[in-house]
Amino acid sequence: MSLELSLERVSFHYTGIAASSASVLRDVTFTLAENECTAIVGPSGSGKTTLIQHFTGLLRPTRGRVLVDGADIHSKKYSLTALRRRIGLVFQFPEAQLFEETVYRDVAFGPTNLGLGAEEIDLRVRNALTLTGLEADAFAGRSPFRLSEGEKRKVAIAGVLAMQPEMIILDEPTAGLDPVGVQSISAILESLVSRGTTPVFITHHMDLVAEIAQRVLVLSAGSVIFDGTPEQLFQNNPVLEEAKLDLPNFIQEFAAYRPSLPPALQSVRSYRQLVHRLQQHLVSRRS
Amino acid sequence: MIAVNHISFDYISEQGSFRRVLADVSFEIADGDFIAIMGANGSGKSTLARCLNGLLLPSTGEVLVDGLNTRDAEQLRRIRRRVAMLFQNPDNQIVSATVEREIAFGLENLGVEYEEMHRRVEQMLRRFSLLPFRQKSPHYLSGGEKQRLALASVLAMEPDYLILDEPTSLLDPAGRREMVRLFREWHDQPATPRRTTVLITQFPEEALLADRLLILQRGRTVMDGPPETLLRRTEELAGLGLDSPVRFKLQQLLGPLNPAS
Ligand SMILES: Nc1ncnc2c1ncn2[C@@H]1O[C@H](COP(=O)(O)OP(=O)(O)OP(=O)(O)O)[C@@H](O)[C@H]1O
Ligand SMILES: [Mg+2]
Repeated sequence: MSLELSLERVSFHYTGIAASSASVLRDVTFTLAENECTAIVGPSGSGKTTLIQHFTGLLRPTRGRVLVDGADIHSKKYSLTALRRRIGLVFQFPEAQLFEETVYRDVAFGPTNLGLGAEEIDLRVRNALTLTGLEADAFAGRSPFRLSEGEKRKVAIAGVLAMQPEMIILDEPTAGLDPVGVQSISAILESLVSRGTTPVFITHHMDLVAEIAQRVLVLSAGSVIFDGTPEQLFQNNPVLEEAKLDLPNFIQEFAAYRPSLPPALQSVRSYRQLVHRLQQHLVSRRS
Repeated sequence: MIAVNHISFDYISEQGSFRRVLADVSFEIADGDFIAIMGANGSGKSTLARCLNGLLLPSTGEVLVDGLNTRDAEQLRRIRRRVAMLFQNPDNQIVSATVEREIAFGLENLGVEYEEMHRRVEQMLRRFSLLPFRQKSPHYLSGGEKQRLALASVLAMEPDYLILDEPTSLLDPAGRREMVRLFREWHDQPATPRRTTVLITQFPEEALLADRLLILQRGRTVMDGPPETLLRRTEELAGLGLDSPVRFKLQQLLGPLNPAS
C-alpha cells in the first residue's frame, strides 16, 4: 500500500453567502509521502480545516491541482468515492460523523461499505474500539449520541480506523480527551506508520507534535510558512511568532533543567522520552 | 451557595435499564469560590455540571441553589438566571443571525428593558472585543471568537454562578489564554453576592487557577482539596488516568539531579 498526495499551487476562496473576498488558501504546495507522521499546525482561522477538505475532494481548489499518485482528483474520470475509501477523514466535531443507531453499526459502516465479510467486519470493529480505549462489549450496543464528549470522539476515530485506509487525516483528534485517551491516540498514530498507513493530524497541542510528528507544516493566513521537522520548528522563532505558536509545555519547563543534565538527556522533547532516556541512562551507568 | 446533597444520576440505557453515572456526590460551592473539576472521559463531569442549574435533575438527592431546589419547577427560571453555563462547542449555543442579536437574545428572554438591554449589549461588545463584528453573522467568526461571543452572551445576563464545561478544549493557545483571562476577570470583579465559578477541564495548568479541585472517578468524588496540593500527587493522579502539570512532574523526576535549583 502506498499513496502519494500532492497539492500543486492550490488556492481557494469560498463563494456564496458565507464568502469573504480573502483567499483562505494561497498557493499551497507540498507532497505527503508514505510512512511519515505529519502534523499541521497554525492559529485558529489559518485554513487548516479547509486544507484537509481538499485532500478528499470535499472542496475543489479555485486554482491549482490536487494529485493522488500523480492523477488529478478533479479530472473527469477520477472516482472520488474510491478515493474516500483510501483516505479516511475524522472531523473536528465528531457529532458530524456519527449517524447510526448503535456504536457498533457506526464503526462497522465503513468496512461494510467496503464489502468485507461479517467476520472481518466484526474483528475490525472490535479492534478499532479497543485501540481508542473503548471497551468493545460495553459500548457496542449503545447509541453514539448518548455518550460523553470524549467517548463520541473516540467512536468517530474508531470508525475511520476500521476502514484501514491508506492515509488517515484527523482534525484535532485529542481535543477533550483525557490523558489516557491522548496516549492512545499517539500510540495509534505511531503504529499506523509501521502498518503502512500515512497519518496526518491537525492540532493545537504542541506537546503532541513534539512527541510523535516527524514532519510539521505550519499554516498562517492560508499559506504554508514552514515545512520541516519539529526540532527545526522549535528553533525557528520568526515562524513560531508569526503563527502564534507556543513551544511545547515540556520544552518550556525543561529549559531550566537542561544545562545541568548529561548530554544524552539534553535533546529530549517530551516527558515520555525523558523518562525513557533516564531509565536507559541509569542502566548504562550501573553496568 | 450551591449545595449538592447526596446526588446520584442514572441514565436510562438503550435496553431500558439504568446506568448510574453519578453516585452519592456531595459538596458545597460557597459564594466567591473558584472550583475546578477534573476526571477521565465519561467520569460524569458534564452530567454533574448539568445538575447544577437544573438542566438535569438528580435521580436521588438534591441540588439547592441559594436554597432553591432544582426539582421545584416554579423556581427553575430563577435558578437558570443565577447559574450560567458554557459548553465546549459554541456552535451548540449560538442561535442568532448577528453578533449583537446573540448577546441581546438572552436578555430579551429575561424581559430586560430596552435601555438596560442596550447598555449591556454595548458593554459586552466592548469588553469582549466584539465591536468590529457586531453586525456580522456569528458564522464568520473563528472558533475563539465564537467562544468569546458565547461567554459574552451568558455573562450579559449577570449570573452569580458560572459553570464552564471545558470551554477552551477546542481553542488555539491564543484563544485559550484570552478565554481564561476573560472568565478570571469576571470572577474577580467585586459583586454582591461574590461571583462563583466552576471550571471543568482536562488541563492541569488550568486547574491551578482554582482555589479548590474536585476529582471525579466513575461518578464519585475521590479527591477534594487545593489544586497545588492535589496536582503534586502525580502517581495517584496517574492511577486515576489524570495528568499533573509538567512542572510538577519534572520537579519530582529531576529535583534531586539538580542541586542548583
Ligand atoms: N444522554 C446520555 N444517555 C445515556 N448515557 C449518557 C448520556 N450522556 C452521557 N452518558 C454516559 O454517562 C457517563 C458520564 O458522561 P458525562 O458526559 O457526564 O462524562 P464527562 O466526564 O463529561 O466525559 P467527557 O470528559 O468525555 O466529556 C458516560 O459513561 C456516558 O457514556
Ligand atoms: Mg463532558
